[in-house]
Amino acid sequence: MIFPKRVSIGAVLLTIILASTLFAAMNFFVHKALAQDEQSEWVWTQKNPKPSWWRWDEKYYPAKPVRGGIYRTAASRYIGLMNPNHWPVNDWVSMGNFYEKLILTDGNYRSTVPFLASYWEYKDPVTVIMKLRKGVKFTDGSAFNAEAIKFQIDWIRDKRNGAWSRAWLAPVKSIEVVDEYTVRWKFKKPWAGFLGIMSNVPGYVLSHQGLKNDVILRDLKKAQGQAKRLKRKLAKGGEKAKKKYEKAKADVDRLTPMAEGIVSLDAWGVGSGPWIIEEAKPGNRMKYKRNPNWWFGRSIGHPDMPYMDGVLVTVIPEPSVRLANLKAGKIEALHIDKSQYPLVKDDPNLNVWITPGNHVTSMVFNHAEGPCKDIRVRKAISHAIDRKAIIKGTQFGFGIEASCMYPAIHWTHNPNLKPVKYDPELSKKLLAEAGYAKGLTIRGVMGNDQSSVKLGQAIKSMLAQVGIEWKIRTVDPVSGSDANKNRDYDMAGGGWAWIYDPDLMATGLYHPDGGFNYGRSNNEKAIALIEAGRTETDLVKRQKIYWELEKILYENYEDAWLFWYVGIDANRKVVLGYNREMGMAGQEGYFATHPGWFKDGHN
Amino acid sequence: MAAVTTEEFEPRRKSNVGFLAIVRTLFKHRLSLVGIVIIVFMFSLAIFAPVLAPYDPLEQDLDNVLKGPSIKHWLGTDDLGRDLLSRVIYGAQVSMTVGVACTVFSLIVGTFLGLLAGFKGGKTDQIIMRLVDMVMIFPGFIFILILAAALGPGMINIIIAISLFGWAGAARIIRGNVLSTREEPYVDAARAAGASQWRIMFKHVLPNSAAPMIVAAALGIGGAVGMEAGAAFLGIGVQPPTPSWGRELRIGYTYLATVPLFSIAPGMLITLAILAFTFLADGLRDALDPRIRGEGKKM
Amino acid sequence: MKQYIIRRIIYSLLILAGAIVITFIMVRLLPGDPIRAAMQQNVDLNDASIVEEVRARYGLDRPVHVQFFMWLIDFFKGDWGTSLSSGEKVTAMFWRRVPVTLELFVGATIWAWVLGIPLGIYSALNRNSWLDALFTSVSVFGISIPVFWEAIILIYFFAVFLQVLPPSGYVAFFENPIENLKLVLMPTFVMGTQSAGGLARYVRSSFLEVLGKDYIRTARAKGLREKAVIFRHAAKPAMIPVVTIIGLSWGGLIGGSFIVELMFAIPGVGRMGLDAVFARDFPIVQATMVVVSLNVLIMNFIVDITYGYLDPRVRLIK
Repeated sequence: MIFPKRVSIGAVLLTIILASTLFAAMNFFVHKALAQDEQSEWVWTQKNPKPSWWRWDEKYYPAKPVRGGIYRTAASRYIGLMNPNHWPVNDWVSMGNFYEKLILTDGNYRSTVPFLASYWEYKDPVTVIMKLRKGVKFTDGSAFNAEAIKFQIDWIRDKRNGAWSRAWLAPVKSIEVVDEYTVRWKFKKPWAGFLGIMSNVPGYVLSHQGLKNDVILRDLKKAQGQAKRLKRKLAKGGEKAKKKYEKAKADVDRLTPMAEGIVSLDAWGVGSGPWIIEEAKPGNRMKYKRNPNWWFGRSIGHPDMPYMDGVLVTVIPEPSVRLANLKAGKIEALHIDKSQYPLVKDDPNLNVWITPGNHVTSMVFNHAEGPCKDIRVRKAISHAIDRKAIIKGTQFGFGIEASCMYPAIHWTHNPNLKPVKYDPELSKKLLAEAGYAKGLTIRGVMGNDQSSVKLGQAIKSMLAQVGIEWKIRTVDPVSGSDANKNRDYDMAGGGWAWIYDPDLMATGLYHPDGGFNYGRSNNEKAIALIEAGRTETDLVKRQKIYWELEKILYENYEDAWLFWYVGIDANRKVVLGYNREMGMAGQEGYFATHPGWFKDGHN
Repeated sequence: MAAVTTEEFEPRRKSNVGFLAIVRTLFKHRLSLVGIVIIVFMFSLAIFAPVLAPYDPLEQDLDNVLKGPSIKHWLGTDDLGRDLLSRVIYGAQVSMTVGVACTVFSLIVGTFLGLLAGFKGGKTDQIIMRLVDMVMIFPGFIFILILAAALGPGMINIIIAISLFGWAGAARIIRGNVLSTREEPYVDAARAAGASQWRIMFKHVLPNSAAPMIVAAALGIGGAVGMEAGAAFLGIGVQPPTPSWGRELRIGYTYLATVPLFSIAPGMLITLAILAFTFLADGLRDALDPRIRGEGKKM
Repeated sequence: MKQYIIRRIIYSLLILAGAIVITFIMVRLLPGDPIRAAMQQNVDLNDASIVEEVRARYGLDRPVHVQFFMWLIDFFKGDWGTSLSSGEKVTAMFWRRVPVTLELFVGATIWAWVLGIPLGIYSALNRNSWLDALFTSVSVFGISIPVFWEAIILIYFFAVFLQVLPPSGYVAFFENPIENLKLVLMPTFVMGTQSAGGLARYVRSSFLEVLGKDYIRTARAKGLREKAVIFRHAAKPAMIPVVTIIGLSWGGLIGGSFIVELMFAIPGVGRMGLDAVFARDFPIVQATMVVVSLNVLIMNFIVDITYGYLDPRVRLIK
C-alpha cells in the first residue's frame, strides 16, 4: 500500500462525494433535457435497467460536438430495393441511415434497448403489450403511431405484398391497436424470439404513408394487368368478361390519379431516421441530408444531433480501391479486410479498431450418412484441427478460437465450454477405434472464394496428418447451396453471420425445420432444447436453455466450430465521438444513439 | 489468351515436304528454335516435377505464410506457407496436360466434322458450318467460362469445355481444305476409280490438310494453356490444392503489393508457354509452306 | 451484290437465333438455384415457401421453354428482365455500363493503331533488318501475352513500384477527366496490345504485298521520291484490308474486356457479365451474351460485305 491508511480513506470518501455530485448533476441535466421535450419517455425498467453507455457527457467524449460536414463512406454494392422486406436486399448498412428499428440490441446482441418501441411486456407467453415512442414523425410528415405499426405488420403478413420477411412473422396471430401509442401482439404459440425479430428486418419501421402508397401502386398494377388481359378476352367475344373488365377498368381509373407522383419505397426509402435521402443514383452513389427534426436527439436534449450535414455513400466494389480512397482522405470510414491490416495500422491519419463480431466459422458434418455419423470420427476431426494455427495462418491472426456456435460476446454463449484442444494423437487413436486405422476418405464442399479455399486447404492438410483424406470440391455459392441441400458431403464449410435472436441459427442448423439442415443433423436432445428456447419468454431462463443446448452440441461434437469473427474498422482521425468502451458495451444501441462529428465541423 | 486468327491459314496446294526438310527449316528459324527449347523445358518440368521440386507442393507451414524469397524458398511461400517454386514447377503438369488434351480433342472432333461438311456438302455442310459460326461468334473466353461453370469443377471438365469451343476453328480449316482439294484431278481420278467417299477423305484429303492442321495444333496448345489459366484465374477448373498457374496468379494478385513474385512467377510461365507454342507455330507455318521455305532466313 | 447481301443477312439472322438458343441452354445448364443461394446467404431464412414465392416472382417456376419464349419476346420488346441479385432492371444496369466499356474499346483501338500501324509499316519498309526482326517478335509477344499477366506486370510496375498511376478503379470522364484518363491508361493498353500485335503483322504483310505490285515499281521507275511512293501510292491500297481486320478484332476486344474489367475494377459490361455467371443471374448473363454475339455478328457482317465489295470472287465462293 502506497498511501497511509487515513489518506486512502479520505480519498475514497472524496471519490464517493465527487461521484455522487456528478451523479446528481447528471440527473439534473437529464431531467432538464427531458423537461425540454415532454414527448420523450425512456422506459428503463428494473428488469431492463439503463445501460452504462446511456450518456452523452464528458465521460462519453471529452470534446464538444461540432455541427457540419459531409460524412463520406463506401459500399460494396448498391441497394437495389430500399424496402428491406423486398428481395433482394443488398445493403443492410445504408438502410440504417433512414429506417430505425423498434428495439435495438445491446453489446451482447440481446434485444433490450427500447428505441421506437419504448416499452414492452409479455402479459402471457402469447401476448405482448408494446408501447411506442411519442412525438416521432416520418420524414414525409406522416405520424408514427400504433396505427402505423399495425399497418406495417399487416402489410408484411399480407401475401400480396411479396415480403420475404413474412416468414419471420409466421408466429404472429394478430396485432391490435390499444390506444394511439400502444399495440397488443397476439401469437399463435408462445414466442420468445419476438424481441429478436423486432430488432431485425420486420422491426425496421417504414413510413406509414410510404407503405400506403405502395399498396396503391400494387393495386393499380394488378388492375392494369387484369384490364389488359380481359380486354383481349373481350375482343374475342367473351360476354362474361365484360363485367369483370369494366370493374378492372374502373379500378384503373380510380387508382391512376391517386398513384400520380408517388414513388415506391423500393426506390426511395422513407423512415424516421437521422438521414433523409437526397439523391439516389443507382449503382453509383447515395446522398443523404440531415434530418433536422430527428426525434432522438431532441428526446435526450441534444437537438443538434445528428451533427453532420449529410452522408455520401459511394459504391466501390473493389476492396483495394476502397482502401486507397480511405488512405487518400476521400472517404471517412471503412470496414477493412484482414489482409489489409498492415497497410492501415501505421497510418497517422487513421484510427484502427479491432472488434469481435457476431459471426462464427465452422465445419458442418453430415450426420445422416457417411463416416461422420460416428461420433468418434467427428471427435477425431475436431481434435485434428489446430484452431490457433488456422487463425494465424488464414485469418492474419484476427479471430477468436471458437468453442461452440454462439460467439463469446453473444448472450447465449455458454462460457463454461472451452475450445476443442488440438490433439492429433487422440485423433489417430479415435480413428483406429472407429475402424479407420488405415486411413479414411471423406467428401467435402467449400466455397470458391479465396478465403474459403484457403481455409479448406489448411484444414485438409491438418486432417491429412492424422490419416484423413478430405476430398474437397470448391464450388461457387450457388452450387454450394445445392450440395448443402442434397447433403452431398461428409464435412463442409459452414458458419453463420449476424447472430441476433439465437433461435434462427439454432433452428437453421440443428432443427429439422431449419432452412439449412436438410436432414443432416437430428439430435433429439438439441431439438427439444431448441423448441423450449422458442417459447421461453424469460430472458434468464432462456439463456440457460441455450447454454444447455451449446453443451449438448459440444459434447456430441455436432459440428467443428473453428473461430469467431474479429472485424477491423478504420476511420479518419478528424471524425470524433467514438468511445470504444461504450461502443463495445452498447454495439448497435450505442451506434444508433451516439452519432459522430467532425473535429472542425467539416471534412 | 492468344488471339488465334484462323484467317491466316488459307487452303494450300498439296505440299510434298519431307520430314527432314521441315525439321531443318524449323531449326534454322530462330524463333521456333527458342520455342522448341522452351516447350522441351516445360514438358520436362511437368514430367520431372517430383524430382525437380525442392519441396512437396502441398506441404503447408502456417507459421511462414507469404514470405518473400529466401535461400530456403527461392521464390518465397504462398498464403498457406507452401513453397512457391515447387508449386510453380508442379503447375506445369496441369497446363501441359490441359493444353495437349484440349488440342487433341478439338482436332479429332473438328477434323471429323470438317471432313463431313466439306465432302457431303449441301444440308450437312450448312448445318455444321452454321454451328461453327454460332460457336465462333461468342467470345471464346466467356463461352468456356459458362460451359465450365455448368459442367462443374475438375480438370476433365475444363478440358471438355475448351474442346467444345476449340473444335469449331479446326472444322473450319479442314472444310476449307476439303473444298479446295475436292476438285483436284487426282481426287477426281480416285473417285472415277471407284474409291469410296471415306477412303478419299482419309487417303487423299486428310494428308493434304496436315500442314495447316499442325500449325493450328501448335497454336491451339498455346491457346488452351491460356484459356485454362484464365479459367483457373476465375476459380474454375482444376481443384485446389493441385497447383495451377492461373490459380496461383489469382491468389498472388491479392498480395501483389507485399509478395509480387507470388503472381509474377506463375504468370511468367504461362506467358512463356503460350509464346513458345506461338513461336513454334510461326516456324512450322514457314517450314510447311514451300513458297516461303525457299527464302530460308526469315524471322 | 444485292443477292449476296440478302443471303448474308439471312445467314446472320439464323446464326443469331442459334446463338440465342445456345446461350439460353448453356445458362440454364448452370447448376444451382440462384434465388435460394442468395437468400440463404443473406438472411437466416428457415422457410422454403418464401424462396418459392420469390422464384415465382421472377418467373423461374415455369417450364423452361415457356421461360425461353417469354424472355425472348420481352427481350426484343426492350425489357431484358430484372436482375436476380440486385433487383434492378437489366436494361438500366446495362446502359449504365455501356459507356464505360465503350471507352475502353476506343482507348484500346487507339493503342492498337498507335502501336501496330507504325510498327508494321516500318517492318515492311525495312524488311529483314534487325529492327524488323525485333518488331516481329514483339508483335508475336503482344498477341501471346495473357491479359491478366500483362495487367499484373503493369500494375506492379506503375502502381506499386513507381506509384505514378492508380492501381485500379474507375471515375466517369465527365466527373474528373484527368483521373479518368489516368485510370483507363493501363487497362486500354493491356487490351490494345493484343490487337496491336495482330495489326502490326497484318500491316506488314499487306504493305509487302502492295510494294511488290507493278504500279509501285512503275511509280519508283518514274523517279518519285520514296516517301511519295509509300504514302501516295502504297498506303491506300495497303490499308483497305487493314481496316477490315479492325472490325474482326472487335470480338477479341470484347473477350479481353471481361478479365481487364475484373482486374482493374472497372464497372463495365464485361464485369457485370462475369459476376452474373457466378451469381447465376440468368437475365444478365443472357442479355450480355446476346448483345456481345450480336456485336460480333454485325462486325463480321460488315467485314463480309466489305470483302465482297472489294473482291467480287468472294461473292461466288460463299
